[in-house]
Amino acid sequence: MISADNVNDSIRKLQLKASTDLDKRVHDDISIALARSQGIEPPVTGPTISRFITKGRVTKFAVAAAILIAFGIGFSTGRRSRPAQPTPDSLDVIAYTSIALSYPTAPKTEDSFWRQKALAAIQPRPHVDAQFTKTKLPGTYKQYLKEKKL
Amino acid sequence: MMLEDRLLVWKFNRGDIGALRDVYEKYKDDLVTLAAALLTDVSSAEDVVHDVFVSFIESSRKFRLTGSLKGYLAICVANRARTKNRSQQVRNRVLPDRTDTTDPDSGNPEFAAVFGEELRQLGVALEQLPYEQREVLILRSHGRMKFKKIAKQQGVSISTVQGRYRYALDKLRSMLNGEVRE
Repeated sequence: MISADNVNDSIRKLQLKASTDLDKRVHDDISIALARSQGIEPPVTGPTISRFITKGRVTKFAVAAAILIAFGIGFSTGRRSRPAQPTPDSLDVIAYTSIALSYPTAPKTEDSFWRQKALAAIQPRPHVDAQFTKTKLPGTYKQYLKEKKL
Repeated sequence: MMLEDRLLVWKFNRGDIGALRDVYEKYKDDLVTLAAALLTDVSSAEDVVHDVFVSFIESSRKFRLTGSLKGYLAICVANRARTKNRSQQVRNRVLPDRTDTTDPDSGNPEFAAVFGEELRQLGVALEQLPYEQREVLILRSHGRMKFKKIAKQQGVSISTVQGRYRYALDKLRSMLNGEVRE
């Protein structure tokens, strides 16, 4: 029997135990939340090639080896390749024939002229590429005048 | 005690949801008792405690502990219990036939029985208190909360809370002495 005076003490004595059903429910929810927090990564729709390469250690080495081999093959092929062969005369003739065809009105005697023109165009022109600076140009002109006087 | 709680909350904030298991194991019985005393129904009390922990899980990153963890959880349980009590009252108003069949003096025999023979009478008496008074009495006596905190939680003045506590205690004493006035 509880006396009226110790109501507060009696209220403090009230004690229930959580049922196993509640334990299960709460622990299940915690487990679900735990699994969700660990699986923060977005769902994988399919492994991309870069992901596939970076994941496996063996795959990494294989890809690196393949790149090196490809590079080596390319380099060796470039070294062994022969320099451009001079075109045979027959080809030159054909080429000049085509030039001549492009100028049907030109006389046959000028064929040599057009050939010279074409060859001149192919040849490097160092005097054209040479750059004269502002200081060098008057000096050169003066030198020219001196030589002319002499 | 306090340090252990702070460590658990720190772990919890860092995403260690497993720390919540320790929090639950530590306070589950107290929280179920508190909710059961407020709602005078054990199954509803367990639902309330479950809901509190579910929402607690969801607030893992943003939760910041300023006072005691037990006090915080007790306030959460009290808030949920009040909401549940209101919804039950609304349901009883909508379906008055359900309440007519039960004798108000007999209370909920299952609820009173769970506390054992010694405290059964107290359980019956608690059921007959108005909810607001019961809440103040339980939070003050069982939860050991200050009037100021209870007043803040209920959104009323401290004097109102003190008055509710005094009325509840007087009523409970008179009921236990067999002088039930209502």
